[in-house]
Amino acid sequence: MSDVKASIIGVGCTPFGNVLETPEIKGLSPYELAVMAAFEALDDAGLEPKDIDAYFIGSMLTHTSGLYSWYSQLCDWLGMELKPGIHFETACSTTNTGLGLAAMAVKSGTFKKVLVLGCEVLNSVPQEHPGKRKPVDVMDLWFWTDFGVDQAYSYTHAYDIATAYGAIPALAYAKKHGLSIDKLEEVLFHIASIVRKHASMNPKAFVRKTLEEEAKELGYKDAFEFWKSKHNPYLAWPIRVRNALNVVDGASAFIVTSPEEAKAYTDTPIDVLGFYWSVKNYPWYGDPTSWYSDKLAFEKAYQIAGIEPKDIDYLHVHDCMQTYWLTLSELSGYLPKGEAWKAVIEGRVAYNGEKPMTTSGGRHGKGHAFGASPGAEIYEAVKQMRGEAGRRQIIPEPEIAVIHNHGYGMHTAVTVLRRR
Amino acid sequence: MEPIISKFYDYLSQGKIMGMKCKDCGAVTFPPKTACTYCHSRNIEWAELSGEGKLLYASTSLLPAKRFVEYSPYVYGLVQLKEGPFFTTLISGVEPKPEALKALFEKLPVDVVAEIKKMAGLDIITFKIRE
Repeated sequence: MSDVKASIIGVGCTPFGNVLETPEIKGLSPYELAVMAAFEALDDAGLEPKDIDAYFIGSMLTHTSGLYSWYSQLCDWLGMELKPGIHFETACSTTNTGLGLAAMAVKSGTFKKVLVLGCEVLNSVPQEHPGKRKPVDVMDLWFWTDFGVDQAYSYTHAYDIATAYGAIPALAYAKKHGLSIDKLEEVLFHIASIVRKHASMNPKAFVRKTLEEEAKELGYKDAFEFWKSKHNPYLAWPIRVRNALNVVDGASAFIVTSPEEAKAYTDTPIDVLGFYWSVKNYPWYGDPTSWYSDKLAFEKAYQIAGIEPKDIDYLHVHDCMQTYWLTLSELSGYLPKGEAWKAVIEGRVAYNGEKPMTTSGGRHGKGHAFGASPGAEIYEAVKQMRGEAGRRQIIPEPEIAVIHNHGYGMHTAVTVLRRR
Repeated sequence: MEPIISKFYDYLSQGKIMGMKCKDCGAVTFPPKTACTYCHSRNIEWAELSGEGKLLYASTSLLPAKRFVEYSPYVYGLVQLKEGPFFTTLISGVEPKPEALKALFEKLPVDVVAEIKKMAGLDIITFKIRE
């Protein structure tokens, strides 16, 4: 086991939604929301706060949460006062990066058990106290979010996230593989349909309705007609709003220890075989289907983990725009080049297909709680590998899972997990 | 250390598009930084760019940058400059509508030329599709 960097022995994740509206998390401040995920992870591992040696808290948007220095503000809520704690971020790859940081910490022998916690409250801003909040203005939300993208030149040149991150790579994929815009639209519909199907089976997802159910409610017999209707406008042509993220509030957590100790806490440790990070400033691409920074991160993570793409049983790629179900499933080597669009139409990337992806519902269905989202995907992968994913369980349980996240703008984090 | 960012925008106000040329590998870094984007050398110097390039992809969105709301909807696209670097900015010469963008997509890449315009209070680079 000397090649194993660390093992995950407990996971937690809150329902994703809006603390002003979603029943399961309504009225929670960032404090309680974070603790909810952390305590679930402790309970999952059968641990108490005193058993944790250090905690790494990831959160990105201070403007909406209304706090930084999460380490001190949460230490006594977590029951971890006087322990080493930090606040860190790599935007929307934060908690994937946190797994790497924790793996290095336990591998070095510095700490035996590390709690990694991600929390993001994005839909509201604090008023008189952190639990009393008012809805955020969406233009302000994106103004603050875009602080993560090249302010020197790109933001001043009308930086447009939905076109830059969604439309351009989608158009480039279509051009590269000879897909007409009409065919691309059909492919994007099928991705969204799979995303919604997965989310409908995830009790912690933000959107619980399938596309087909939504179409029916609005009087459409054919879900694709609904897809192309005024009810689903272009966010950035040819990307429609249901191909994009839903911004949510949420928290995720996991506990990492050494591979040797892991068996004492769980029958099914999930080993971190390898991880790698690569960073690129905007614009992230030459050919917008071939992100070199992503290619590098996948290749190095596989090399460190000692795996090849054919070994991967489950893949999550960052899908705040669903374009990446196409481009990154191919770049990762999970699907053959030029084949992802066919695999999507044939349903092969659904939970019950031969090449399952992102069974949580991803950034549209489960929702996107920026820094907490990678932890939610690690939670999902761990649940799948343990056989605890309920109605959306992949059969047989995946042995090797790869988790990819993009953090503005742009930090690529890739982690390879293995069920022991 | 000179204020690179301020100087870049001052140059634009004078009608000049400036980047950095690497004295080691010869590549042009654009917009200007303090190291070569390609070989990472710090041995670089200011160089003027032609303003010519090719538009590779373009679209329009419901989520304009907050500072550019008054110009929305606008077409935003990826351009490869004649000197090599990629840049994204506002594109003129095509309507910000799906039908027009689809017709343009069929023709891409097309030649574009830089137009310096004062937008959101700053002289910036936009590109115009050549007839």
